[in-house]
Amino acid sequence: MDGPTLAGLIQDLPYAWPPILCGALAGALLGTLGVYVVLRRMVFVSAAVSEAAGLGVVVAFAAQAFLGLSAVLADPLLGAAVVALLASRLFVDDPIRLHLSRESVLGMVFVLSGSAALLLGSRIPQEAHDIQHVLFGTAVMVRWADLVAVAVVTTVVLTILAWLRRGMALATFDPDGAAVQGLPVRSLDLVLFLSIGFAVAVTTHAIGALPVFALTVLPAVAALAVVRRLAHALVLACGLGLIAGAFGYVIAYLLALPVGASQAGVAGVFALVGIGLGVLGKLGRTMRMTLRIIFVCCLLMALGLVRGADAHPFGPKYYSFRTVIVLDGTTLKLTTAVEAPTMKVLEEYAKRYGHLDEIGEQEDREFFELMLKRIGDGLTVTIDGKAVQGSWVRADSPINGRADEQFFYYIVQFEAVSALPTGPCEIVLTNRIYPDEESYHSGWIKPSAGWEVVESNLQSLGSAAQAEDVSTVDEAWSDDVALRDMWIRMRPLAKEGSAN
Amino acid sequence: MGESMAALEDRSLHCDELVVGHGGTPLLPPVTVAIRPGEFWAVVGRNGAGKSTWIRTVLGLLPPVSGRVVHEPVDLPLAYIPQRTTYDPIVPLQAEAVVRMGLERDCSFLVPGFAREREGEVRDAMEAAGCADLAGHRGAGHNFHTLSDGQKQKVLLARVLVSDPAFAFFDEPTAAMDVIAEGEALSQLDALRRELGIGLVVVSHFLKVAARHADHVLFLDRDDQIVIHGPPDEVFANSSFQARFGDHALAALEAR
Repeated sequence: MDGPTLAGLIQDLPYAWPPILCGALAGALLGTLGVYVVLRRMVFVSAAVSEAAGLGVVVAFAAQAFLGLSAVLADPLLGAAVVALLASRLFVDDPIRLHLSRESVLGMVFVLSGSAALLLGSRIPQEAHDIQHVLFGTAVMVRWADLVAVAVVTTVVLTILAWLRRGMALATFDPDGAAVQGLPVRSLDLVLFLSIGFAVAVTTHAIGALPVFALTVLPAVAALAVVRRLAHALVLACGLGLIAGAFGYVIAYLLALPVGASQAGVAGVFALVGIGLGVLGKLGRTMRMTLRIIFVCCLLMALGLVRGADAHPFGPKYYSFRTVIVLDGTTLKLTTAVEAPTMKVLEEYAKRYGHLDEIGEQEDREFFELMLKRIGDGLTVTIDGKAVQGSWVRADSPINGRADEQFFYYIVQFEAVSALPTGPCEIVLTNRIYPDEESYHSGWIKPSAGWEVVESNLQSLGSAAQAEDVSTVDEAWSDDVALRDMWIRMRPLAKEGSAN
Repeated sequence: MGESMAALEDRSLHCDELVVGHGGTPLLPPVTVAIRPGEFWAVVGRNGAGKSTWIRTVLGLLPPVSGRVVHEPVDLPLAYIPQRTTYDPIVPLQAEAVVRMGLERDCSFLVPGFAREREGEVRDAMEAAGCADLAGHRGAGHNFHTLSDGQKQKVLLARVLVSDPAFAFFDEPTAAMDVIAEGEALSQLDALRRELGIGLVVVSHFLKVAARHADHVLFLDRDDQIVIHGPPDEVFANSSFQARFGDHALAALEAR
């Protein structure tokens, strides 16, 4: 079976380039800022700032609910930006005068923002996942507006950092000496911390909190471990961040992994390699040689592992269908979940609407209905060769129409309205959704009272304990690409006492 | 810099009824002194006497409790080497980079290429401070953090020289040195102030330093709330000073 390949990625490039570019830009930006973050011993700054941004979203929602402010005035994103910048402003002053370390200020901002958001959040109509939705994008589906914002912030902040480099370095190494030499240390700090606040808020919205944290810390750690000059550390961290952001996406695509975690993983490998090289530089020659050999062997083995790793059969190229059939004598119920590869869905979307810009609510709903209809139209249920009357409707599931990083989920349900047989019968589900695409269809039957299965290409769900919710069925998936249609031959159980 | 050299003799740093302290609480009585170019001031006192607080206030790093510090003319270029170097060892830093930091003044960092054009001054300063061998970017030996204390002190001195200050402040510059290295370092400072006309303010609790090189002594004592300043012999003859330092120290002074 073919897993996702590099060739496939190149083919998908028209849809894959925005998240790759966004990852690269965010990596370059956060990697560079990360050098200052690490040198100032404030690696948790991104966690604190994104928590503060969360509070900002809740405050905006609360202002709409309690103060009756319009959604334009109390825009959740605006709230996030304002509170994130206020938090960054808090880090400027050296808290030593209050007998606090900067680390404890970071911790306080993190914990207080988090709990305040929870407390206030319990009093507003929006659910926690609405807030998450506003705050965190997933790197696979970068919104156009986010990409533009990341590109602008990256350009502006990196230009400022390059311009102020000498002043920024002096203010970081030796704030007292810098102040005596007349440098505007406070202003430089203000520029640095507001840049960090801006960068974290914007990139978190575009690619998520985990990769932002990772890219703020790990490329800088790697760079600082191997170089002896600050200028080199800044350039190297920028480059490593860029590679981690872009390459993390490629790894995620090839191995069917979550994108954000892959970006963090690549950056983590850089940090470990960097620390390894740094340690090597401090050892004696023999020791260094030995370790270098072991190190290269490990690298080769790791590369081999990556190459040999078996791609998930339902990698992001393939459609996957899962159906559960329930027949209990009076009703016939089918539930089919479709996992549609994100790339293919975006392709379809782009074909229909001619753009992949920020998706409007109206279009979003329309497209969702369209997908459900296409799936319903592709599915036919027959009993003994005769079509069963009934319609495919959207299933009530929280993940219906949602995307994780690899797939969009669409779940439809069918309930027969025509009379059901009382004697032995054959039920067939014909699947003609996306007939030209490779796909995997797994089917399960839930044992029903009064009926027994004579023969079937479905798997039994075993005990009745399993829910009908297909999204929770995760046992024994089919990996047969030729299997599309599901069929069952059933008969009513013989009544007790009567003949066979 | 020719223009400022011409005005050298007119420069001075006035402390006008200056009261230092933390958080608005006075540490010492008011001090009124004027420091002029080419002078060598020794700030002496026991541990915790308020010496560091005093010079940090004069430098503008701490706000005065009352009184003021007047630059004549305004915004004199100053230089400061804090007590032990506060450079964080995780910062990648080479000896030459430390010296180059001295080039920046006010907002000069906004001008691209400003530092590169003055690369020659960095080498000259390292030459003058006796650490030219530490220049260059290659080799682990030039990593600032792995230098010996004596070498670090020379590099920091080069940084002060390259910044071309009117007044330079050193807080315990010889704390980590042995007696011989200390003597060399101070002779070097002394020679430089004579040559360049820089006003020096050196905090030290070694009285011999003050006695041998300084032409002015500022004696601070927080416990007794005393501030005395004047020529070394005058200060050392003061009864408060003698009470504080005891016979042993005075005997050492006699032996200089």
